[in-house]
Amino acid sequence: MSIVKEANRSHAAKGKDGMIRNTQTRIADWIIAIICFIIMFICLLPMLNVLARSLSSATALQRNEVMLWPKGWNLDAYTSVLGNAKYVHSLWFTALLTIGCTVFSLFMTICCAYPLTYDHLRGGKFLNILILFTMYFSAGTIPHYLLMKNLNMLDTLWCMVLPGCISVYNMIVMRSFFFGIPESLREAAEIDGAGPLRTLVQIYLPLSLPIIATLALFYAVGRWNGFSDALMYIKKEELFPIQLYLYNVLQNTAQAEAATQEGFATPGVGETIKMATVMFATVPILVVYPWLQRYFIAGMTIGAVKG
Amino acid sequence: MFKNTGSKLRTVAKWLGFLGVLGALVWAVYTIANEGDVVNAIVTALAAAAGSLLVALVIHTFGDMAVNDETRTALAVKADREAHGIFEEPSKAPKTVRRMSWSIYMRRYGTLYLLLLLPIIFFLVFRYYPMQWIALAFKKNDILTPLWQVPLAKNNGFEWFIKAFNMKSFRTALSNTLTLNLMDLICGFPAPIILALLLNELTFKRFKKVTQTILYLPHFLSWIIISGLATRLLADTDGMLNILHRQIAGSGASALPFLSNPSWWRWTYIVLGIWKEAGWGTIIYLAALTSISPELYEAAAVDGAGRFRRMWHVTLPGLRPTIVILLIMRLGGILGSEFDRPLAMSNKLVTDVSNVISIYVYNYGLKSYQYSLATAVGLFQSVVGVILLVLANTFANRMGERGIM
Repeated sequence: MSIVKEANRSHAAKGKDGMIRNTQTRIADWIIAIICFIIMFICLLPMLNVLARSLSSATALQRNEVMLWPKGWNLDAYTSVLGNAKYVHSLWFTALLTIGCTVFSLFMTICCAYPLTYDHLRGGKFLNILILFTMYFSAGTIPHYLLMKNLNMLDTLWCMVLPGCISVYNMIVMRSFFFGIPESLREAAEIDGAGPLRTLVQIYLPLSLPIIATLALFYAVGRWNGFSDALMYIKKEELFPIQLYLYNVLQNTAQAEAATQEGFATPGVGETIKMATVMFATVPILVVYPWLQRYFIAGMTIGAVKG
Repeated sequence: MFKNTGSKLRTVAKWLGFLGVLGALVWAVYTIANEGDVVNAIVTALAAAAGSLLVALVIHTFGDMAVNDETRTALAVKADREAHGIFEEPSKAPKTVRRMSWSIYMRRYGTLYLLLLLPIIFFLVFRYYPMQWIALAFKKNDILTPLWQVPLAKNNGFEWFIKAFNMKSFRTALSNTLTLNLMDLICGFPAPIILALLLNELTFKRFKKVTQTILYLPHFLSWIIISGLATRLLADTDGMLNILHRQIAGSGASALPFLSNPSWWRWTYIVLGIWKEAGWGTIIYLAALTSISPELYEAAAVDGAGRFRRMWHVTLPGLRPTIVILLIMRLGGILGSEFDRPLAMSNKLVTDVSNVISIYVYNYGLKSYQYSLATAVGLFQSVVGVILLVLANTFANRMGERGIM
């Protein structure tokens, strides 16, 4: 009761959510907004720092003057990174690999998920268990390595495309989405004489664009960021994906750092170049993901509820 | 989805478990009678019994899942139909399909198997075929001769397991895995909940959207990139935080060893994990929040509950099922280990605390060619992992919440 009275006294207005708002709650709103702003800032802090470093001059870096704002503006680091043929090659290679992998993975995932939505599919239960089992038990690192070795896939493109081409989790998300499409649509199509394939292409796929976008994002980010498979299976430098390239570059820095700690080497030269390298690997993701936000939230939620 | 799958599966599981144990016993008695090697017989029998029980447990859980599913779907459908005043049976199409002969069925739905062909080949070749090399865990370390010709390792094939548990480096890896995962659980688990509560209280809609977009950002960065970012921020000599620290505490102050001191490194590792995943983790909680009825908030407000009491008595109870499920699943994965994260974050000075099981497997198996040892360790990890997950899931089902299986 007291809140209502108080609210009346301070010319209370009703907020959008139907809550009664007075000065006190408004102050609380602002405090929460400020806390959120600080968290947001913490989220961006490392990125801003690296961005500033990549745009600064080497001398300013060595004098430890750079925080969040570049000193001695220049784009030298970026031009020299773009002049590095190996890096540019790796960047292009990874981009093409990512696109190829994403398309192939989506194709395989749809092929796998769609038939399993037919509840009269003969042998469907068995296939379901066959597939779900791999989600909980995997052979392990060494057996997978030996498989690649025996299939003669080490040091080829295929060892980065094939082993991960269907993620069971993503398949389940897709299947759940298909389940959400009313069965009456399928029945109507069947009565009109459409076979399963035609139903899939003309009815299910057009209705599933949001989930396809989400899974495309998940697969693409997974491939762009993936490096453990390349680390284990790839020795040829021209097949290095960007993350592995980056790992090698940064690992040298880290070792140099450790060496400085122990009092050996001088701080690494080409610091700004390393930072520019990191930025180049990050930007494609930054450009893509905000546009798909609406979709991947839906995708995550389906996966969580129905998985 | 399928009628009575659940109870059928459960029956199958029970029989499988029973027959497995029985078979193991018979086998043990038979071997003792014939060969007199008691130790060998008992070990084999125990392994066989445990194996069949494990398989049975997994199938049983699938059965539980299906039963839950079926009852829930049936109840929901029934309630829905009754709410709309419909009482007749649902469409009869599936039943006619079930009665169809094989040839007609294949003519009409054969395309489905065509679609499934590639995925099934994928699962068989890339998921099931490599399982044969699990046998290497019990054999001599030899990958050049064909697998079935490789002789059994010492101690009835358990040489590598015994060796691993006697190795200091493996025990360190095991304890590191558990320590890091536990710390991650205790600190990392509540983070998205708190963040979601905070976001939920944020009244400025557009600002909320921007905040969310930025909070999701770190999830999309790889651990390699994050380690690059973190080194620049936290390095001893030229990291930003240490530059700041020196400016505040005077240039003589010793650096804060975020990455070079083992116990500091652990916390850095945890904090960066939170930084990466807390924002992403809120999605699930925010979705759960939308299902809480606004009337509850209004009623609470009318009863005089302030912001915090509403959060405590309305929001948190609304989130409880989600929290319980996610917590149990995290507990089930306590022995799992990521690969990218520790590998990217680690450096020479902290290997004692950063080496986890996956790194151990990589180092021993692929770098030092100890294939058998590494396979044995990997097998230990995945078997214990599956058992923990199944237990967690059964527990979740018992509690009336729906597990993930």
